[in-house]
Amino acid sequence: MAASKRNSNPSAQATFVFKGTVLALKSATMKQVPVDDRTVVANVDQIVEAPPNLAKLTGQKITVQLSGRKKVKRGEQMIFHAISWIYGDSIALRSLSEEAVKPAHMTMLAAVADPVAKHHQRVKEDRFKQADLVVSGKVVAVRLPEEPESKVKTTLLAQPTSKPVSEHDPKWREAVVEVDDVHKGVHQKKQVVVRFPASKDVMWYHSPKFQTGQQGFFMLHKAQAGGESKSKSTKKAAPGLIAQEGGEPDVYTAPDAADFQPFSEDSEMPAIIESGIKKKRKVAPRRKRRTTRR
Amino acid sequence: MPTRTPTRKKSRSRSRKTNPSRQTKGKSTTKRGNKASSKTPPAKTPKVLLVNMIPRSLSGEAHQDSEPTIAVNPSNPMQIAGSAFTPDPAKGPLAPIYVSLDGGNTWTLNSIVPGANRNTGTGDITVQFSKTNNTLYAGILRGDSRTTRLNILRAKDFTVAQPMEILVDRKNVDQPYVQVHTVTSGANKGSDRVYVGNNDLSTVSSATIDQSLDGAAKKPNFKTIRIESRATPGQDGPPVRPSIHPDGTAYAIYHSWRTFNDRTGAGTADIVVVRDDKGGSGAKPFMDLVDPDDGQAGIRVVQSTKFNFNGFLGAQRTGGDVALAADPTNSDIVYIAYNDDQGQDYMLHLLRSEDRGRTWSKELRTLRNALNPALAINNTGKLGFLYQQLTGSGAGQRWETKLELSSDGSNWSALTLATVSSRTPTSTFDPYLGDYAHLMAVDKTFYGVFSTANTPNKSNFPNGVVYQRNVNWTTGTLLDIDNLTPVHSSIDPFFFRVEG
Repeated sequence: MAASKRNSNPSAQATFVFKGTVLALKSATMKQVPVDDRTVVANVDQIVEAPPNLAKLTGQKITVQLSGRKKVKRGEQMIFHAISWIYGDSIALRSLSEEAVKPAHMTMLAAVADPVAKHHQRVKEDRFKQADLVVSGKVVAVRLPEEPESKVKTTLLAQPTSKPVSEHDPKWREAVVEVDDVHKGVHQKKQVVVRFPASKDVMWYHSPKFQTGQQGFFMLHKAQAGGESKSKSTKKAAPGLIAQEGGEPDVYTAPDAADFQPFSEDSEMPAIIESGIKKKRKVAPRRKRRTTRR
Repeated sequence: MPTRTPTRKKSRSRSRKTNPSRQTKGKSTTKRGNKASSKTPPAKTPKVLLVNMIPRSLSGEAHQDSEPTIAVNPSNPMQIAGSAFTPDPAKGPLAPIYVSLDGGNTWTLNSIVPGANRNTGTGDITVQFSKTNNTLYAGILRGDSRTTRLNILRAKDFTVAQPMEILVDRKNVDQPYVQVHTVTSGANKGSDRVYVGNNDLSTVSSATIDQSLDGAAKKPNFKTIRIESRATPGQDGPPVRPSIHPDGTAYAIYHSWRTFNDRTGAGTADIVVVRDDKGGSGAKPFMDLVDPDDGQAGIRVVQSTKFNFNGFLGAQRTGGDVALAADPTNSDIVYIAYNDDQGQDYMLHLLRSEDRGRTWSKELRTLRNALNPALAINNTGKLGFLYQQLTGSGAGQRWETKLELSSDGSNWSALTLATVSSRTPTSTFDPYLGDYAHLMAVDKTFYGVFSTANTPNKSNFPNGVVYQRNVNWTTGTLLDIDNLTPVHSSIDPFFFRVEG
């Protein structure tokens, strides 16, 4: 539901989706909210998707700044697709889009069991879509990355005593993953190397910290200098990280907490993978799994 | 004994060299003479407001909201902006700033900082207002970048939903620290001079100030000024702290690395102060303070202080803090604070110059195992000195946040703003409390912010506290938005206002 109504701009994706009743027009639940024609007070009737901080708003009156695409009436029930605005004694959200509740929504609303789980599922779907390579497999080794020869020379010339250090140093490590199956992208080798930050710094603590023996789904992103995920527009790569320009990279990263999903009975990953396959037929040939899921 | 856990074997000998030429000979500015004053000063009780900044609607949050700063709008002190490592509550791509429109009594969050990571928010962030036109400036490290990527930002109205405008975007930069001066006379009257101290790791002379002489212009030009004039072992330390006097004099202090072992994290650093009498607008910016011993720009106030970049004090990482404040009543007078390792202790030192940084007093305060110094001087010349100190031992070990006030550097009044167990909560990430706290003065009033444990026990806040989030003071329990469900303790930002 949320995905279908999301703004095409990824920086403006709705993260809070709810059914609400408009209680008052040109009104707000907090004095700090600037009120205009698009500001309404709504009761949160049912939450469809929510991050944990917003999961307990059912039954509460909140302020919504409407998208302005549609006129609303007092008493009208609507589905709101919203993002953050102001948090105080109450909450004010910005609606990216809203639509009147129709009979077609009832099935969707009835199916919502856990709005937070729905949120987590959407995050996983997004990470799957953004990933360059998705594999299932097992971490068979964790090691320090080898310093590329060319980089060592540069470092020695430019900085005679040491390379720059920062409290935000990622402390890169490499997990060697034995690949059971390729679910998205192309990877011919039996193993894939995933560079990950061992640092507990604020910039890195949320990234997966791999350990030998971990099994699951790895949603991997091409690495560039320093392990930074490489956007599709980025062509230039750091020496040693990507061996063949335009070809298979030597190293991938998994920077987001959702980029690794351990095998479990209730994993949503098989469904997400199937959905991805249906949406994009062009997938790598699948190999037979060599290990058993736990 | 407080637990300090450096990752290397430390010498207990004190190798820090203070240059006698830097001391104010025969003119000690403290009645305590050459002895460092480490006793607790006598306490007075100024009027104090202390507010937990987490709003009621986020009562269920348990994030580690560390490393806070605030900015008070000098032209309207009712408007205050705050920042911390607080992610967007809706997990969106804009991190929030804290907003108060009533002088800090109540706080809301407004998600307007671009480049946020949905889980962690923004990276390092500091904020500061223009002196006259309500514009809020910020220096951040983007949370969505896998490198330390500096953005310098601007919001003409920090209360609206519009994302902050990006003025500068550059990689390999650490700890941006923004200060703003607005020109009060002459041809450039009304111009915002924006100074962003930072550690630019793309160069070996890494102590840097990015400066615009007209930050409010439609497309402001920022110039990158290297303030390090000496050879480094590859870089300087992270903190570079400018402080701008109302007459335009620009000072800055930085942790000038002399040696560094990247295997152990151990090193030595000089504490260097630079000055520019024209606010950095000339051809050779920040070169007005020359060290007579080596002829280089920047006075080495203290030489060869020890630090360990991998060290910890309790759960808070260390590595060499510095702070500086110029007296708004007299730009000749400057106070600095800095940290160094002395044996197993992380020592905090306070010194003063009365001649524009040329010579320096004996230590006015020396505090054991204290960090995150922040300095500000009000319009009567009174100094505020904020710090966080690890006291006690074992299960009784505590983080105490204190504000000391003095009009002469000799007689002090001390306020304990918070005293909390150092064991609860446990650290989620580094930094635990933050690599800095913040203090500033507008007119006579001191405004500050620090992060510490939010366990709701009134004895933790001896001068009183106001919580916006739901809490049961009888049971000492945080409560969720339903006012029923218990919530785990976490690190929160606390705003305070003290009449000077």
